[in-house]
Amino acid sequence: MKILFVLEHSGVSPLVPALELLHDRGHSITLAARRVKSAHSARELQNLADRCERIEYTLLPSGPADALARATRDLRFGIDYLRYLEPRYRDTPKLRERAALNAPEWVQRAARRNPRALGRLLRAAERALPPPAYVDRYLDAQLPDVLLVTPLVDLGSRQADWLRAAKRRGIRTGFPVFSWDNLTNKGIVRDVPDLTFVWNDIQAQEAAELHGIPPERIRITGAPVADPWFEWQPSRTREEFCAEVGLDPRQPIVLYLCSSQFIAPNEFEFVPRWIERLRAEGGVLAEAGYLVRPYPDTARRWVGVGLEQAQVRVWPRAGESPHDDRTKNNYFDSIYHAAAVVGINTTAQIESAIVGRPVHTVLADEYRSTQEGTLHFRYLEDDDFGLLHVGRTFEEHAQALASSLRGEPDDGRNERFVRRFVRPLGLRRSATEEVVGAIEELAARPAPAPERPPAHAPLVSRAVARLAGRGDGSPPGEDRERTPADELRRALGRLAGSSRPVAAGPWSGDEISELLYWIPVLRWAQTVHIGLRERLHVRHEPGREAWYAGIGAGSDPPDGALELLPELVLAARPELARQDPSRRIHHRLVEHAPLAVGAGDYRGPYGVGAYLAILAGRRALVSGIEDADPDDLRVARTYLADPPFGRLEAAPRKKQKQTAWERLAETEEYAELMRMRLHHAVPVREPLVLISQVQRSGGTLLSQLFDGHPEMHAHPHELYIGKPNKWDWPPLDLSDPGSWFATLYEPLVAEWVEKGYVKDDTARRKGGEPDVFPFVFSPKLQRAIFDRAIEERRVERERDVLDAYFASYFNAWLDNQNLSGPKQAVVAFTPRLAMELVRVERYLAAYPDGLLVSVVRDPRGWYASARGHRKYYADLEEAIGLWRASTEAAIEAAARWPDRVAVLSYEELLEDTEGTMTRLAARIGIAMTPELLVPTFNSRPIRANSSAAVERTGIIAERGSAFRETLSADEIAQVERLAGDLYERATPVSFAT
Amino acid sequence: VAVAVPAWEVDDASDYRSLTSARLEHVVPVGEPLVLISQIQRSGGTLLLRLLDGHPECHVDPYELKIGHPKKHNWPPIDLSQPDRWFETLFFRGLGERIRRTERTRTPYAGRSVFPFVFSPRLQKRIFDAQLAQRPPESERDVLNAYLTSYFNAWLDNQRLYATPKQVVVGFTPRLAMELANVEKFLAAYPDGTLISIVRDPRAWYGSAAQHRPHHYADLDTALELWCRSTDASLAAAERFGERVLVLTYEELVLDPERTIQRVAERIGIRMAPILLRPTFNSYPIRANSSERVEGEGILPGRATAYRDALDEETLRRIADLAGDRYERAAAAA
Repeated sequence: MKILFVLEHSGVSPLVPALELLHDRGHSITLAARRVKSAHSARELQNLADRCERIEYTLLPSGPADALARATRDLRFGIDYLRYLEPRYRDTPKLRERAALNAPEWVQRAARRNPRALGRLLRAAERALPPPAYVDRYLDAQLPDVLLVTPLVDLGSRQADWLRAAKRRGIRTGFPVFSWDNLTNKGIVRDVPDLTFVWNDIQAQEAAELHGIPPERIRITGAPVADPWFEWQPSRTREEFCAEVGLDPRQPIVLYLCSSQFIAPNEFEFVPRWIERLRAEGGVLAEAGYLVRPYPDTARRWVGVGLEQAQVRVWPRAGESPHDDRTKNNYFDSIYHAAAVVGINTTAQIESAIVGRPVHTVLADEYRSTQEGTLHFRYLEDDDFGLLHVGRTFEEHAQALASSLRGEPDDGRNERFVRRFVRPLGLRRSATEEVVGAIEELAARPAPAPERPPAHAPLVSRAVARLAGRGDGSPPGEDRERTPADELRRALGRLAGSSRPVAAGPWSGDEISELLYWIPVLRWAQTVHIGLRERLHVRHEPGREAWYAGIGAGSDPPDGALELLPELVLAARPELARQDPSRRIHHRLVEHAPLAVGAGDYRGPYGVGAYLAILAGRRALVSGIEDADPDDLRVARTYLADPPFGRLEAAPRKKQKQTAWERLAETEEYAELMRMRLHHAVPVREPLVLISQVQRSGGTLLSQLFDGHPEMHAHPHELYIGKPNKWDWPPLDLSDPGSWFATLYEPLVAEWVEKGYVKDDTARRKGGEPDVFPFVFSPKLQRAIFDRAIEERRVERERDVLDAYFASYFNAWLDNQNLSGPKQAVVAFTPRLAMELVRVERYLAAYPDGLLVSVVRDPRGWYASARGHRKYYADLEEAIGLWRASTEAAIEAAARWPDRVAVLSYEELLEDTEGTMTRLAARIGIAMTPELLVPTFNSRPIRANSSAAVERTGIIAERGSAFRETLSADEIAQVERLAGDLYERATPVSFAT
Repeated sequence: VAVAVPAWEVDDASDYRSLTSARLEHVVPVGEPLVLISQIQRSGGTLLLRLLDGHPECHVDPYELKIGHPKKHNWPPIDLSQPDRWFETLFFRGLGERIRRTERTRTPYAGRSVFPFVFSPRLQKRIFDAQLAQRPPESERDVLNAYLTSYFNAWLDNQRLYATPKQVVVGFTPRLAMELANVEKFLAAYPDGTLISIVRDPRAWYGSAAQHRPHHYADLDTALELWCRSTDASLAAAERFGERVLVLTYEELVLDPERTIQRVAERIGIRMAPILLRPTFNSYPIRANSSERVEGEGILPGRATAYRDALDEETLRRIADLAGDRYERAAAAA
């Protein structure tokens, strides 16, 4: 039998027993992964292929990310989002939010009316889409007897194409459900596989009810990924284990198993509080040892957490995923030697139950949405078969945990759970064998008839292709300028996609860069691009063979080799250094391997010698570290800070005469500056004046006119507190204080600190020279001010949180030219928010004293400007549809909240700026001042954000009639016909003061 | 850029460098002429500085300008052949304390006013060096411009840095103008500069000074000698340098502030604006630096005649004898 196993990534560790069994029974298997997860998963694949002659692995082919592919993906994201609007997901807000992140806005909008009908419609459309040609080609070349695909149900997953293409060819299809939560908290199955292998009757029910898979196509096998847990034995005695981790072997151990970032963000803040409270209970809880096992992907966040106290350990300190004998033993031994295990919501709780340890959880307010707010958690706490000892209050939790630590027997709940959930066919029946048997049974069936596309398929394909061709389907990242790291990735992708040899180097930069960037990039590239290593030839300086050990197939490239240029890596250096170390490893480009050089500490000047030492696991005490490139230091301190590497440290400095301006070290000076601002933070509690309507209507101009007014805190750029999109009103959950700041935080500020503020990056991309303004802002200080503001007040309503946020924003903005003095209002501009009345309602509920200002522009001028600004608005009918939606919303808002909504026309703002601003100032309650007549950014004059070239600052009155030069008479007539009398109806609403 | 560590969780050193780099990338050059306020203390120099503080066309040092060397009231000796000494000469060594201090002044009554001053001495040095590298100085003025650029830009929460156009830099250094040689050096470095010297009625001046620093000014004859020296120097400077020196009286400033400040504005080339009538510190409203307890913000006209309650007849007669007609001559010059 020939099996093609389509995988999302190379992390096959839990599948290895099943794959080996299939191989041993004479079957051939091709593992095709879309991406490589990590170096060790790539090695594991290689080892498997080395051991098993009929197992091969390859990279799954991929197609172009063209408009059609994006539109298809959007459609799938939209469908997956809609499932979370069903009643059974009513209490799962976080799952819904996650699904909404990628769901197209039009789906989210349309879903407000009738999500079910929309879901039916979209699913019918999706089913009609043909698989991409590259999928068909690959399957035709492979011709497998069985196609297996997993996990299949990632949100918007592309794997659906493989299943569909196989079914249309009459290839047998199977879907092994990988994990216990896959069927409830991800996307949905789009085409029904011939056989779905589930763990237990609960998943069988989920497959039928949530995914529409007929019961006869479902097979219960138990959980193959859990099989090794029934076999493993500890690798150390309790004394050896305690000695290694640093806990007292005479005391019981509480093992805290961290959950994923999605389930339990900021767990590194939660756990210290949890330990402190438990210890305060006294008795066995005070004496016990606490062992915290970080979640591998977010382990870096534990570095620096102040938990180093007696009988408390974070271990393994740098995090570790169980991928080989050593790391698996560490994991198993941690559970085995624990007297009780605690976690929020993680697979590790099931594994602990198999090992037979009492498993606890506490229902924490901050994790409400990912504990009882997920369907799969409810199985763990189920009254009939759940494994968890659930503490509904902290006291209850402490009491139950103390009982477990005293060795009091439980009520057999672990065994009940394992029998029902993990091995429902019998505790001694291996799920691996069940799955393998079921796959063989599937292969023995007659091949199914090829499925025909639905009758409406051609129609749908044409419609989707047309929609995609309009350009509206461009993903959010499409407008983003490609960075050097993007260019590097693309170049590597091209080289990997070719079958020709690849020549790299010699490196043209300095030695430190060679060690920190060039070599890690080569190592990463040959890992993630299967097959590249055999074609890679790396040239380097003589004597550096040890540096390049294990990289490439040689150092002498043959003629005709393609070149990987060092300049690409040189250009991407800053980005490589500044990557987020807490992101999943497959997103990282910096991948080091230890060297074996010398022994003992390195002491000497900062330089390549120091890096060779730390790469060899030695400590380096260096002088002159202050002159080091900060990015290099960042790499050393982020990626090389923990074993197997040594630490880079500044050698103690000889006392030397310090100049008066250097009396404080950088960090001391920083601390003083931050303290100074924090100590003097100006409270911000004024009402919010919100400017909002469709873009290109003059909102930016109006906000810039308010900018310098001494009685206003003027938010200087578009307000981005809305989530998931900037024009949404922020979803603040008052019961979850830990989420407030992250919800409101405006991420672009960090970029502006680095590059300066530019209103619209389009001009820069087109080679223009837009106004660039300094923006001296500290997000870290902002967080500190926010936390202080929250501490100092009793938060009773959304407004309190928003006040704290605005106070943090305006105070952390250090070069804010308008912080002092009595203020009457905060003013900010968010396009489109006011186009939905429900959002306006939420804004006005938070700000009963707020004022919404909506600007309406003559539709002819608006269309000419919008079209010139973005292709998005090229379709006249669609564009005017947007304008109408905005204008109608403004009129309706003004009718509904006449005292709290002001509508003004762009044309009156331009033609009678003084009169308009005088009336608006009176409405807001501020004095009319000269500042209100000059557009500025933080007190500096700014050029208009016009769709036409602008040479000067100030108000450009002629923009009001400029459309006559850019629109044809026909277009003007068409705009007038489509807009009707809306503009005329809007303008009398103006200033109903 | 794939910087995805939450920006509010970066380490201190990274945040510091990020802030200082943001400023270094966008330095506002300061090359405007210096308006120097100078005379004996307790004459109203601080008040005039505060009135000019918030004007968008002025770079104003909110504290006393302490570039003097070896004492603050000496014009700094810039040796163009010794670049390594320039910054050290001009840098005020007490600046490090300022950024830790939350009190505006040691004066007990006004000391309740507390203002932030977010300033980085290290960044100042970097900006200064960058300025020199960008434009190697050819004159003393170039060095001073580089220094003042570094000062106003390293002051991170300076609320009047960006407003344009700027016409002048304003600084207040007590006593510098009491030596004509200092004034000469100042005007040599700043041919476009203006000296403003304030003369206060000697009776009011003594009343204030004796209460402010009794151990300094307790002896009437010694104190009045200082006042006479200051006033003589102001009159001599006005006579010698004509339009480049403006003499004011404290009394006209507090009793007729609008007309007086308008005259100052015209002379130094800035437009008259309402902000010129409100004393501020980096745009925050501020109480007077008075020797009496002060409850409100703004100009205190009562201070012009407060001495009548504090000084006896004999003291007043003695002051009249020692001061002669100097105040009247200054008032006429004003």
